[in-house]
Amino acid sequence: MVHDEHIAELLSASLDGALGPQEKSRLEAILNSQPETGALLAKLASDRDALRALPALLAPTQLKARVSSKLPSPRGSGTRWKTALMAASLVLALGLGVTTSRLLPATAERLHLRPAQLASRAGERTEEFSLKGSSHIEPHVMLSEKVSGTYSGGSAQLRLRGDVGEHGSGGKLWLRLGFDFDGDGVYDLHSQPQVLQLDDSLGYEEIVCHIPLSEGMRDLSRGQIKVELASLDPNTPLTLQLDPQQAYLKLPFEQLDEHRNSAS
Amino acid sequence: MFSVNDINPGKAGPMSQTPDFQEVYEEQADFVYSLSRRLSPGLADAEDLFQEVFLRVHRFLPAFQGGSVRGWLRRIVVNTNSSMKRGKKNQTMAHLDETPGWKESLPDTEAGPSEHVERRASRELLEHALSQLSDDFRTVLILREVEDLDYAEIAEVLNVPVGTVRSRLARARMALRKQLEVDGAR
Repeated sequence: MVHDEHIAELLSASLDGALGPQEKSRLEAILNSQPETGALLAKLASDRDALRALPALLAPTQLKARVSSKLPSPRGSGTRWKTALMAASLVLALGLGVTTSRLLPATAERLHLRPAQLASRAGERTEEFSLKGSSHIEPHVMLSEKVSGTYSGGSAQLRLRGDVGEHGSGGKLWLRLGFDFDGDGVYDLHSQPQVLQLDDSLGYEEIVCHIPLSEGMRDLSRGQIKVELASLDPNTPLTLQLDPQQAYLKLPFEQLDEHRNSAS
Repeated sequence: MFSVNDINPGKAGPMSQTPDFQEVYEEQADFVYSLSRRLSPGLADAEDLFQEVFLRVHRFLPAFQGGSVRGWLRRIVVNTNSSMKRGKKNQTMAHLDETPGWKESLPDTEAGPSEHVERRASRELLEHALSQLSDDFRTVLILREVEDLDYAEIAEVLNVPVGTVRSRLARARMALRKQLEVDGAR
């Protein structure tokens, strides 16, 4: 480990592109004569990359509601504030983690979830299936093919129910969306994967996940949309429940249309 | 003591419409929460910080004079964390993901669930090492590498000279490297 603070500062500033010409020359001379310093620089660069890859943590719904309820009501805007507090209280009372619908444009369309399919029409009964964590995790895929729609901007929202059963704590659901905009079989864009921690109590809990969508989203022309789901913990299989009325994927497309050649 | 002057020093500009608090809360809650968790690894400390930040935002939002709301919030988070930490021992870092309802958004869109699990072990080592650093070192690292601020922007947030940012960042990086080697990483 380098004990010279000046060299450490040169190494650090070089990671930020913050060296002046003379400093660059000095650092080059040091690196040429001290291979161990070059090795340290590589490790510092790797640490920097690891820090930059840290995921964004999303505020838990219950924390947001709890803090919201402690904030003083603004003068003269009681109606809106009270409505928000009432909604938060209702969410807590029902034990649901429902996000607010204002996240999505009013013209958002939805596809219904079935174990292997995203469909424009809901199924007739509730279906269940398990995600088994394993040492090599293959995600479960729900797919909709030959879909067209006009991109309207905004995010997606997935809603379904999940349970870790008797397996206790550690249930983490990983999910990601994929878009093949022109139906050529190549997925053009994936959403940022979302990871959610389920509670460890018995019984199904509502899972509502807001999925941000990045630049690159565009209209669908007989394309494909997929939802990938996986359990991250090999010791904790998750059971997912698809209620025909409640399990859906809301997407920011107008006039979403499946061109189906045969009945599903 | 936190005051209105801490909110926007040297950036007084034309008065603009005061942002609506509810909109700020809904749009920025995730940002404030994520920064709070990174700066204050103890779960209860971070949640206290989150709450205290929004109490201050609610109180001082009418005095907001325009510019970047996120930049303003970032300063409040950093300053509030600093004032809450004075004279208080750090809590032991809780596993960041032990709370039901916890969720995260991963930056790599092409990585599947297996890659996530593989990277998670090294990520936990990194997060533990970060939690063992001093508040000053952890803060400067988070502002540079997670918030992607340059030296001048960090200097403004911390109210220190640019030279101090440069030297503190160098010492913070060396301290992190040393801690990672102690913890058995790479």
